[in-house]
Amino acid sequence: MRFGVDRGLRILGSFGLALVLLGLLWILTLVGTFEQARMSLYAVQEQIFGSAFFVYDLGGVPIPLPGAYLVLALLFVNLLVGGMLRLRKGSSTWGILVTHVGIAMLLVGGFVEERWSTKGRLTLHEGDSAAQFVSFYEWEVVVAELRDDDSAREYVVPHSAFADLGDGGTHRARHAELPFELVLSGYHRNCDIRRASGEDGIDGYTLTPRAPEAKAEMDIAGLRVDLEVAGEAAPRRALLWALQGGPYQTVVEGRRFEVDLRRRSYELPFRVHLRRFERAMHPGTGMASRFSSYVSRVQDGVLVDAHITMNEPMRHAGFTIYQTGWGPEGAGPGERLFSTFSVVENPSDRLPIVACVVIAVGLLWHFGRRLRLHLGAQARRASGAAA
Amino acid sequence: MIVPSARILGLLALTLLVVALAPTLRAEREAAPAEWPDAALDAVARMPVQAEGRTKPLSTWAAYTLLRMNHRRTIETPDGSRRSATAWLLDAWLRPDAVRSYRMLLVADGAVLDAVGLGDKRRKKRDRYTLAELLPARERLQRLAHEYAAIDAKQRSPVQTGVVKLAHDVTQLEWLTSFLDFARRQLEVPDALRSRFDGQSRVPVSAVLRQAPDLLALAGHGEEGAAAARSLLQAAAAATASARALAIVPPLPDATDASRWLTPAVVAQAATSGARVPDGHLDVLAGLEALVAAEGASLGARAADLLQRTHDVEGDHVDISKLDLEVSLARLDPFFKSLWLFVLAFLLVAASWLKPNRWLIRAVWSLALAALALTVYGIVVRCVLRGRPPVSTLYETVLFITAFCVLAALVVERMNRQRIALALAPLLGALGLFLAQRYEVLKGEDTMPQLVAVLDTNFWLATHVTCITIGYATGLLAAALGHVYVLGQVFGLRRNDAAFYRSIGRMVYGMVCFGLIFGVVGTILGGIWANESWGRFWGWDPKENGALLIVLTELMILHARMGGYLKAYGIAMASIFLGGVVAFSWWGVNLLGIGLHSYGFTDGVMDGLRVFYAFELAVLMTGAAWWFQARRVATS
Repeated sequence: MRFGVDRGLRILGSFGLALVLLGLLWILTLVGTFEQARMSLYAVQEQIFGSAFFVYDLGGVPIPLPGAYLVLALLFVNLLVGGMLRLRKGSSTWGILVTHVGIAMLLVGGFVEERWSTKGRLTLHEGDSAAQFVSFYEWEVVVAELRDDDSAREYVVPHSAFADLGDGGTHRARHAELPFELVLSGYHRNCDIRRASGEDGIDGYTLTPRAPEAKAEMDIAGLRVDLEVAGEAAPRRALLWALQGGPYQTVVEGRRFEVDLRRRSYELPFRVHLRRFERAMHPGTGMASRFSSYVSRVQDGVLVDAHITMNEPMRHAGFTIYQTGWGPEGAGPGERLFSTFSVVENPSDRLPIVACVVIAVGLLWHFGRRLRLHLGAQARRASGAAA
Repeated sequence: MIVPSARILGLLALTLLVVALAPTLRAEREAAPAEWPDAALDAVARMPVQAEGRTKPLSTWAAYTLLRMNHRRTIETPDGSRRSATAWLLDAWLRPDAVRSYRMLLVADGAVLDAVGLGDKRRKKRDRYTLAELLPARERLQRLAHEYAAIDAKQRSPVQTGVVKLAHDVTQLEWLTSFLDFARRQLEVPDALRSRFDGQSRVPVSAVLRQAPDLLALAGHGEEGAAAARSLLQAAAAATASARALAIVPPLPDATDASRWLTPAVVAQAATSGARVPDGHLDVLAGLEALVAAEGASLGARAADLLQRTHDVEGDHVDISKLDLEVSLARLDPFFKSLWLFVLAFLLVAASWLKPNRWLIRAVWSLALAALALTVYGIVVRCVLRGRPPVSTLYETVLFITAFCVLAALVVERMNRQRIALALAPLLGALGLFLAQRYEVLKGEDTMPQLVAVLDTNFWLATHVTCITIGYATGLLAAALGHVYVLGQVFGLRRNDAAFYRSIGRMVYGMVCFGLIFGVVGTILGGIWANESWGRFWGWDPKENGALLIVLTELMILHARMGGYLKAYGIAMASIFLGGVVAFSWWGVNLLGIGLHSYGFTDGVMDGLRVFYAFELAVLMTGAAWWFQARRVATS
């Protein structure tokens, strides 16, 4: 048994496995780079870099390959076993050990970001404020019950419930407070709405899928929703498309409901108010030299002014807000501008900086020591030859 | 097996280098004939102009405009004389008819002319044309260009790209030759207004513009002469309409857009529409008129006067303090001179292979150091001019990588004294600067462009970009040393000298280690920058992937060495492969035209990259064949 564990650890920490995994990662990186010429980055990330396995179509020949997620996980184990636990400790390997610790930190940081970070965008016109942001890629179906005092109570079906319904499946959602069940089907990550012929459509329309956009955040999702009301022979049918003019409205048992498909939204622990947006162009060109937003952050009644510009985000309460865009494009003088921010909540936000320092120290120590030894030996050889 | 001696290798290297570099070493940079007075050329060269978002000397603008149109920095006139870019610019201003007959518009593919109906089988496929030859097809050319311009640049066929470029060049040359048309004109003053012009019947445009406020007041009051005033103002505006090729008039500090320079056409339009126009602006227009009217020796004084008038307008809001430095850098042309010095140094190295001599080696050291110093000087001056760290554009990566490769090779030589790195230093220096020159011609754009907003950070340019570029340089130097090792073995160079190959092996290993430090740190710093700019550390963007591929290749080499999978020869072969990966990351990913780092896309790089990869593949296959053969012999 002991022999088996030792052997297993030896294999897991071997140079051979490290080479195989580095080679696989090399191939995946190259394939993932070329694939971006024909697929969106998001699709490449999902298929190649974020998966455990995938089948690569090389000119019609299917080649099964491990995804980068699996390769990186195995590389982490290899690094831990071979590069840290089983590494012979001493002055000659101290630098390697530190370097490996730094790389492990980097991999852990990547894992934490992948699992627990939240990313989205926030668009504000000058003078507007918000305390929510929306996801780049995820959607949600929202049922809102409208009350007489103009308030609404919302029931949300998350993206994970219908993300895989593109190929014929359905998802049934119910809530004790709702007088109907929702049956979701026909989800498309990116689609158009078109007039339908015959009985295919709903109210004369149907959703037709489109290839994903090069920038996946530009995708416009759509799905079909059936409201099954107790006592009604046929369900009430509707198409939800993210660009439609308004939500689907219906009345059940005298209660008013709206059903809508929208980007998944997240709450911020503070409110952001865009006071002013500034853009500067290189003179005589259409190239922006700088664009920046002057915002106020309001939390618990305390107002703090902040400036967000390229390469200078605002960090607060675990969230980081980045300047990413502005509009409307070609806006004339006096036109009301909007500013678009990326919002990220990433628990491992600062880990790469620490890892970078650790790796640099490890590499410099190790290779510096090697160089010193080499030069010393060379000097000894030279003095020996002279003698 | 016949093994070439070091002497034959020396001759071969010498011949190859001369053949490879000969086309670029033609005396393209001869001084212009002294047809224009030196004082005039000097003043015009130093005049400021705003183009592509920055204020630069007119000589820089002229050089890059000519480079784009002609693929050369100088031009050959019909009488066979060669003229500098500034002299050509003066020709275009003062002798527009002559310039229309200069054979200077390069058409890279005759199919472009077939497309616009000007195909001529008697001409070479790639040839230069005069403006006069192309003008008959102008309408069709512009129509097609308009149509093709609507197609995304990366989707256009070579002919479509050629049509768009040719139309642009033709338009720009037309604008340039008509730039001073207004200055050649004298406007007829109606009788009713002559008293306002000291009784003159014909006056220059600037004189009318000076009177514009009064003429506008007159035109608005319906008094006698109102129609004449309107007519004169319209004539002034029409005369200056074509003067919009160059923004040479500095803006006022309180202008709506105080960063934007003005063309004479804009100045005239402002004056004739009632906007406040300072005397300084009209003085510049008057200076241009005086330049046109000048003859012979007085031209220099007029040009100097025009330069002074431009400077008079300048205030604190206009910074042209570095223009003279830029002019002097262009005149020194350090990279071209360095190229020559590197070539010379390599020739001396090759000569030392034929006949070893320590004086030759000292001369090589001196020349290589002088060339390196010149290159570094050029890079430093560019940093001063731009107010940026050394690398912020693809062109600057070439300069920096060249300088760093040479420096690293000389340091390695100082440590090992095997004369291997000493031979590589001038070779890499010459190849690097040759590449920089070809890229400049291919791009045909100012090599000091403005940066997109995300790159406007000297901290990250100085840290991430510099580290990554050093990583590229060391990877390439490792590859170069790997070539020496593998080809040396293949061709039997110092066959029985194990110490020689041990030494090269150590150099390759050292360079891979050095490259790994900078590659890893640079790549992580890039991730941190991306996290600061875009909110994610790693996005699998092509440029990020390119950097990762280099790091992974270096990690594989080092782990394979530590695990005993690769010995010295294998590491040398792997380092050649590493060179290919560096080339992919440096140039290849830009050709994909995708990702957040796609600001380095350049047409025409693909061909060069194909040649490079074909050569590297041949070396690797030859090296592998030799290894199998040597192994079989050893086994038997």
